[in-house]
Amino acid sequence: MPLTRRELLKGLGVAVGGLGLAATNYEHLVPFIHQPENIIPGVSAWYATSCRECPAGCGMLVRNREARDVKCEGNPNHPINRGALCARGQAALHGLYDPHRIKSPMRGNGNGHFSQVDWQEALRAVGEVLLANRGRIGIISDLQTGSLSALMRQWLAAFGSGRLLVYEPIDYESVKAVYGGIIPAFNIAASDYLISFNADFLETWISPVEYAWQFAVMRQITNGRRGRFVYVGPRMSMTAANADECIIVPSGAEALVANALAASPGTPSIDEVSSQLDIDPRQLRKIARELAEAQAPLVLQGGDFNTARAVSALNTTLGTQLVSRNRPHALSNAANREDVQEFISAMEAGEIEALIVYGANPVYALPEADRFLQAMNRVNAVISLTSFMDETSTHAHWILPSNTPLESWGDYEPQLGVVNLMQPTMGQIFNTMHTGDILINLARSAGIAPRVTFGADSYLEYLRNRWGFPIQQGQPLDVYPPEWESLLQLGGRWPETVEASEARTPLTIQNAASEDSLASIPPESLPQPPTEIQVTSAVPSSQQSKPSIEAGKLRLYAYPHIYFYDGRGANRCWLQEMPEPVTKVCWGSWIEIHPSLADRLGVRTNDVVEVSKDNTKISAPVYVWNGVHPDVVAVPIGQGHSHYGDFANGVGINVWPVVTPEAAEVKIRTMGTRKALANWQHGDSQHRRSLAQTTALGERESHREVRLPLPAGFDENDFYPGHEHKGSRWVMVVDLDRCIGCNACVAACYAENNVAVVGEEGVRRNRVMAWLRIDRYFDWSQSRTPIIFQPMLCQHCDVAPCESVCPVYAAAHSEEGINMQVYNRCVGTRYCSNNCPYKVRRFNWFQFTWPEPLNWQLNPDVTVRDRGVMEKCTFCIQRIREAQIIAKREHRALRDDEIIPACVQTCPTGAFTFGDLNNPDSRVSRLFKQDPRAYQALYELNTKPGVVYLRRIIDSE
Amino acid sequence: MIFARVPSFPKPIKLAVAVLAIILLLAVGALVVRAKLDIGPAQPIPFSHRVHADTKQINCFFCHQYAAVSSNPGIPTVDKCVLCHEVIASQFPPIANVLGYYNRQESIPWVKVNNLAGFVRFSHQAHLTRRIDCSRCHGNIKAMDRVEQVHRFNMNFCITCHWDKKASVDCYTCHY
Repeated sequence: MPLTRRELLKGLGVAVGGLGLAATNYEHLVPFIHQPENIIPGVSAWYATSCRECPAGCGMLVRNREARDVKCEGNPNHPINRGALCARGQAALHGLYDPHRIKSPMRGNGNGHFSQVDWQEALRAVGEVLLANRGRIGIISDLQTGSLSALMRQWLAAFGSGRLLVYEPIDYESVKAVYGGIIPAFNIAASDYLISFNADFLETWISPVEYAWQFAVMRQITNGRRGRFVYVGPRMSMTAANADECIIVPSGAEALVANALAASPGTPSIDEVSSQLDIDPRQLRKIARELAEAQAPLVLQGGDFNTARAVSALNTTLGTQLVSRNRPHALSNAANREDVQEFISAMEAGEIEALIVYGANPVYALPEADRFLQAMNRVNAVISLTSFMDETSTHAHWILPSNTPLESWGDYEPQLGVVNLMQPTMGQIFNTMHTGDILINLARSAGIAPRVTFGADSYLEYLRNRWGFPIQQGQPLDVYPPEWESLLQLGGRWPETVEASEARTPLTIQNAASEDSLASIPPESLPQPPTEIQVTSAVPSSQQSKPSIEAGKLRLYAYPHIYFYDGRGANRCWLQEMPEPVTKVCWGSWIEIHPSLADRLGVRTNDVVEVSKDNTKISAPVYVWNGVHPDVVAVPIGQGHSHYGDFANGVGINVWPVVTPEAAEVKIRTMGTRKALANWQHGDSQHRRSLAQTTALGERESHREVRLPLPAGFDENDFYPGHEHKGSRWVMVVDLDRCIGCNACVAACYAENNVAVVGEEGVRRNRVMAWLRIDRYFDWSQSRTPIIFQPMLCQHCDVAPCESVCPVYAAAHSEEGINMQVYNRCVGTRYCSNNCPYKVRRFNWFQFTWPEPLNWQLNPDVTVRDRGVMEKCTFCIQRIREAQIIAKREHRALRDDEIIPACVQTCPTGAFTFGDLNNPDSRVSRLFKQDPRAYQALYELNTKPGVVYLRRIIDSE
Repeated sequence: MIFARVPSFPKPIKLAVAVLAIILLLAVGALVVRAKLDIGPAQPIPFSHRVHADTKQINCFFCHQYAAVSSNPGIPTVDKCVLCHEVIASQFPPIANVLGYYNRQESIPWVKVNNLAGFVRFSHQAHLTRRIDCSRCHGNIKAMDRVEQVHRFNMNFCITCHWDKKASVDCYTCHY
């Protein structure tokens, strides 16, 4: 047989390649020694546990693949979150896989120098220290309830001490003060008129996911009416952006409005307050009237004590039935400011000689951190049970690293009666130990018999005892009674089981939309160059000056960042990359000011200013926008860590030193420098393109703008015929009225699809890799609802502009209507991205990497993309394929609700609906084909998108 | 001077070396292409599929138990080997070796034979649901002492069969 030309070239290639390789690198298949239960390679195991990223305590299911956790989802049976999860919950995995975790016990000298020790040595030595300091031991812990809290108390008692400080930097003390020391449950879902005084209940306030689905229920339209929502506060937060009316008042003036609405005797009337705060009195009178007429009004209080008292009085006046004290929130147990002060005094007085710190980071998050640090330096031994080397731990003498919540046994009771059970969702990654076990082992090495004192030799046994499942004689620890097993599977115990929840089903089709144009664009008229002028007391916003709130004084409004909360989320690179919902800034801190103040100062966005309160100064670039009161300087809390990990260190500024319970007066001056903020969105207006549309409540006419992405949607105006779809045509419906802008879907998409994090500089250069983003548009000519959010993802067009320009058919149309991006075909011309009108295609400019062990999180069902290829939303094709394969195996058709993409799954308000347009009975096809609010983005381009938006509903007068 | 000039060889020698090199490369290349691709990697234990699957007639799914329910067929856990070999031929040196792994509670580092590109998603489950025989891709395993990759899993191999069986040839069937 002669050698063909092809063979010759092949041979040449093989030979050259072979010469370069000394040996072939084989991969290995490493079997288990014993088959563990529930782990099938290639099949996910789901473990129920509790989210511990904030005190809300949502139920969580963790997807485990080949013994590694790869995804967190909400527990659909859980009464708090009903299957949803916020961005912080999604990022819980980044706590588990944080490359900066402490990997083994360490001994320190108190000044940040540490040497590794083994557990045995550490436990022995610390046990001795504790024994020597009996009676003078204190614990600072973050909010714990249930077994761990009980163990801590028993443990302290065994050492003859009683000082346990449950420290939450955001303590909601003002709420507690007006409800007899507890935080009650607020039934937002049942309300028909909701006023929030500075309570950002969709972002951070108490239990945001729960309140988000309740809010969606409240906003459902029944008989042409729905609950109204009014926001009063110093800043137009994401929560405020969802209000029907938003009244921006100076920080600390909320109480005036509340008192005026309540018409409390001895307080200024509506007219007086209006003129003082520059508000239209008709607006306030209207709200007062509507409030009085409401069947089920509810007023929420954030902010200071005055506000809380005024709001509580208002609630009493209204006789609201929606505040229930029967189910106090776990946060009720958090320490008050006084307790913290007292604890510090005890440290100063030498009453605490051994301090155990767990989960809390007071050196970072305490306004009087300096005093705390001095007091801590007097303490003989500081023992940190942290998982991270944070600001407090660097001063520790001993670090006994504890497991993260996802590796732990435990329980947490977010509301009285709702008890979450936690189980390890995967094995330990590092040489760490469960907090409870550390405490028990320490007691043992100090000569206290755990069996006698705690009735258990390990924390799991302690937990089982408390739940009423003690270990039977002679049985090992991991043999579970069936009831315990089923509790673990359910995720805990709560009074009522959740039905297929009404909140997370899509809207029923209702009134039609109006022709609308969101036309007018606010001019950005701030052209002055930065100057070095010093403005101390700035712009008087109203002529009159009243004693309670002085006009013309700048006040600081520090708010917890939606993703970092009090700062604990700052070392999760997903959360750093997520944009703050209204400013769209990520990877840094900023100072928000009003354009009028910016004019006075002569600054524009990105100019650095310094804000000072007494002698404390913070400086950061300004973000100039209309959503903040002219007399208010707003800054987010949570950044500016010095020790936490590489993702957090040195990013932004720490605001805690200037935080006070009451709105503090500050001064501001320009620094004459500029620092570009990393912003996801470079334009704030829609440029008359009507991308995110609205309609009036009660609008009768339908203005559907939908061309079906099916052969039926094509006519003589189309150059090419339509695609024939085999079987299904996958489509999505996005309800803009439901979308609150929280970015939970974005975080879920990052987690599911191995989306790379590009970092601050990458974001600045517009290289964000997000497949799904929330666009936020301002329209300040709309006085009531100037902010609108729009989830923007690949529209999976039937006439896709990207497909026709790809020279290698890497962008192609699938049989089921999905617009595909085939990575192995893509050569990186980027023509598709250039031609995409929705700007949803992302190019891999670099080979992105995940530092070990963050790469353990990568979804094994999704390709990790290489440098030089384009990528974009796939409608979670891996989930579609998995469901199809299983349905085929079981010889049945797919159910309508069987395929749930990651964004749809996690949305707290149920804004997304996904399904098959070819199935006439599917929910999505009814909405797609009939909803009068339906429109396709950039309808005029005739791209026939497979994503349909439902217009946001704006309350008419 | 740092960047010194490299003295060059006279032209005829250069040419001769180049010609020789090309001839050598051609020879090696031809051998490699004509010869059988590979005889399969050496394994830590000389496990014979012929003995187990043919002589002893053990069903594939006894060891690869997840093939019908997962994308991944699974390989037997060490204790599964021990299940039989605790008594069967336990003195035979390679099997003593297996027992050694088990007694040390170590995993056996089997070498992966069949490799697929990283951008391809393959599900054993889906193919077994359609009753595709294992040998269609893996060859006559029952005749192999040392397992080798019989077919190169390039797209031609996959798609020919997909056409034959009228299975989907959508890109998103495998590439995502």
